[in-house]
Amino acid sequence: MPILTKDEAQALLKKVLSYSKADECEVNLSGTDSANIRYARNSVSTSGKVSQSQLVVSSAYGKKSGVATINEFDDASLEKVVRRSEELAQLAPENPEYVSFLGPQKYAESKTYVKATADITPRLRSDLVAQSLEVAKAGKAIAAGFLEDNSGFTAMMNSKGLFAYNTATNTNFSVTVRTEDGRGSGYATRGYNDVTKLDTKKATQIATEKALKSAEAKAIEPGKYTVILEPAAVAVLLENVFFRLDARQADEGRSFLSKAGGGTRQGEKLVDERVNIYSDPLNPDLPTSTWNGDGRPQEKVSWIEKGVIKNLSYSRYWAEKKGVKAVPGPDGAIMEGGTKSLEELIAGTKKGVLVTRLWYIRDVDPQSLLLTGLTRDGTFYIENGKIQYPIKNFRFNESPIIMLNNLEELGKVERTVSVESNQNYLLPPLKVRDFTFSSLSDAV
Amino acid sequence: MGMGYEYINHRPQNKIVGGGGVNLYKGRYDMLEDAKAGGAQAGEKLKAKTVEPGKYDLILDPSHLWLTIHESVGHPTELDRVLGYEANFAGTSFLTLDKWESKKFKFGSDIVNFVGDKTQVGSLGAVGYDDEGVGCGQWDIIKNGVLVNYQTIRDQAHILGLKASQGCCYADNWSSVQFQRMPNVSLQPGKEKKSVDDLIKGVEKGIYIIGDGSFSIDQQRYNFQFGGQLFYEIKNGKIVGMLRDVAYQANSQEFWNSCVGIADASDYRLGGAFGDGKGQPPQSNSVSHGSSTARFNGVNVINTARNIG
Repeated sequence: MPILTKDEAQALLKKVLSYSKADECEVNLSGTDSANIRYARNSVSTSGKVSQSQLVVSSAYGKKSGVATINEFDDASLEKVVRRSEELAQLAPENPEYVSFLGPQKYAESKTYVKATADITPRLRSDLVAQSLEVAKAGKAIAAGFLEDNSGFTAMMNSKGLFAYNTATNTNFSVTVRTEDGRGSGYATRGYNDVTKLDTKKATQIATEKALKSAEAKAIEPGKYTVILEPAAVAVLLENVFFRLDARQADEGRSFLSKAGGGTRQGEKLVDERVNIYSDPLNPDLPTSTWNGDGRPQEKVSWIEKGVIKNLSYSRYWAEKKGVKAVPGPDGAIMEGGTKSLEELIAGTKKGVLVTRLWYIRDVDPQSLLLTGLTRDGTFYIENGKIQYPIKNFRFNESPIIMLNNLEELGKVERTVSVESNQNYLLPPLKVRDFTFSSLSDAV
Repeated sequence: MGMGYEYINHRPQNKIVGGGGVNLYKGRYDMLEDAKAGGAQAGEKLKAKTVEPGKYDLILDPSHLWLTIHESVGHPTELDRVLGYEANFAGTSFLTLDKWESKKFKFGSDIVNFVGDKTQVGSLGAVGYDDEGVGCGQWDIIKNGVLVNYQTIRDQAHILGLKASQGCCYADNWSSVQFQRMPNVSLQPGKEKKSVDDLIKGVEKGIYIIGDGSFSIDQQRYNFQFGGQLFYEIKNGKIVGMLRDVAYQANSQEFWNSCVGIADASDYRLGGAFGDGKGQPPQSNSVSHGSSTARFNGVNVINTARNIG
C-alpha cells in the first residue's frame, strides 16, 4: 500500500469476498499518496505527505444492508471487517430503496494516470513553490499559495462478478498575491493530471500583476453590468449546475430542473443555444475515471445541447423506479467555447467589469438556482475595449441559468479549478450582460 | 432495531415558545413534534407574502444568529487570518492588529459582549486541553462593544502580550497539521430582564427570523448575506404573518453596532456546526455559538425571488 497493481487489488478483493456469508457483498478499495506545500507571508508554512488506504465492505441480507471500513489488511482484519458489515446489516431496518449490486460491466481504459505526477519528488515540489515565491518577491508583493499532488488507485469487486480498477494522478496549484500595503490582491489557479504542464512561475506572474494593478480600487455603484468572467469565476457558478443535474431532485420539486406541477424540464430549452455542456471521461485535456463509485460505466454524456437539457443523472434506484437508464452524474464537466482569448473579449467590450475570481458561493434558492457570493482578487472596470481602473469588490446575486440566457460571447476553453470544490473543469471565459451586483464590499 | 429516532427522548421542560407561537427547544428536543411543525410551516411559507425589499429592524433567534456570529465574529477574530496565514483560501480579516492596539475599536454597540470559551458545557467545541496540551478556558473577545482580544495558539500568544495560549490549536485527523481553529464564540445575554416578546413589542417595521439558511461573507469579513428558515413580519410591535424570499445584507461592524437589544439569560441557546472548514488541505472543526434572541435596527433586506422562465 498505498498503490496496488490491478492484479494485487484483484487478489485482495477476492480474498475479502471469500469471507462473505451475506446474500450480497461489495468491496471498494482505495489507496492514495497526497503531498503538499503551503505558503503564506512569502515563506513556507507547512508541508507534508500522507499515504492512506481504505477498504469499504457493504453486505446485504435482502433489503437490509450494512457498511464497515478498515485500513488494516492482514487476514484477521479482513475477516473482521466483513463480519462487522454483516452484523450491521442484520441490525439495520430494511431499506425500501435498496437496489441489488451490479453484475460485470465493461469499461474503457482511462487516461487519468501520469507517471511524472506520481513520481514528483520533494525537490520538484519545493522548486515549483520557490519559483512562485521568487516572482512575488521580485514584484515587492506577498504570496500565499498551495501546491498539492495526488496519485492513487481505486478498485471494487462484488459477489455478482463485477470488478473495476483505475489509477489517477492530479496536481492543483493556487496562489494569492497581495501588495505589501494590503490594498491590492491577485489570484491564479491551475490544475492538471500531468505536473509537467504546471507553470507556477507564469501563474504567479499573472497573480502579481493583478495585485499590483488592483491597488487603487475605485467604488462604482452596484447594479447590472456586462461582465467578463475568467474561467475560475465561471467554474464556481456553473458547477452549481453540474452538481444539480439529478433527476430525483427535479422530479421532487427541489431543483431548477423541476417543472411547475410535476416532472422535470428535460428536453426544454432553458439557456442560450450556444450553450453546450457535456462530460467525457476520455477527453485528453480532462480525463476522468471510466467508472463511478457504484460500478456504473462513465461514458460521454451531453447534459445541455444547444441550450436544451438533454440528460439528467439518476441513482440506480430512481432510474429503476422511472424505467430509464441509470446515467451517473458527471465527474468532470466541459463547456464548449469560442475562439477569442480573454484579451480579445476585453477588447470587444464597450463598458463592463472583468472578474478574476468569485468567492463564498452559496445557493439562495435551489428552484431558481439563485446564487450569492463576491468578487475577489482582481476586479477591473473596462471601457472602450481597455481595462481602465481597478474597482472595489461586489457581492452578486445571480442565477447561472439567467446568466446563460444573457450570454454575449464565449472565449477559448481552458482547464481551470474551482476554489469551492477543488474540482477541475474545461471552461471558457464568458461575457455576460446584466449580471447583478447587489452591494459593495470593502474587502481586498 | 427500528429507525433510530425512537431512542431520542425529548424533555418537556426543554421546550420554549418563541414569538408567533413557534416551538423552540433548549437541550433535547421533540423530533416528531418538530417534523410535524416543519411540514405545516413549509405549507404556510408557500402561501406567504414575498418580502418588500428595504430597511427592517431584525429580531434574530439563536437558531439563526449562531451562524451570523460564526461568520462575522468567529472568523475575523482568528489571529492567523489577521496575520495573513490564510490569505490564499479563507482570506484575511478586517480586524487588523492596529484596531486591537487602539483599545477603542468599536466592533459593536455597548451591549455587545463576546467570549471565547473552549469549556462551555453542551457545546460542540468543548475540550479540557487543546492539541498543544494547553489547558482551555474562557476569555473576552469583544467587551462592551470594543475589540479586546483574538483567538490564539502557542506560537501567537506573545504577539498579544499574553502569558499563555488560549488553547485554540486543533487538527482534525492524525494526518492533518494542527493550527488555530475557532473556539465556541458566544454573544453574552442581556443583563436586564427582557423576553423575546419584549423585543418584538418595540419594533415598528421588522422581521423575526428563526433558523439558519443561505450564508456568504467576503474574505475579510466585511460584507455578508444571510437567509433563514422562518420569516415573520412585525408591524407595530406584533407579528402579523409569514414572509418569504428574505435575505439580509450588512457590513459586520455596522451590523453589530446596530444591536439595540438582547434578551436575558433565560432565552440563551446554542447553535453550531460540525463541519467548519479552514486551511489547505481543508480541515473540519466542530464549534458552537450561543446567544439570546437579539434586535438589530435598520438592516438592509433584499428579495431573493427570481424567475428563470
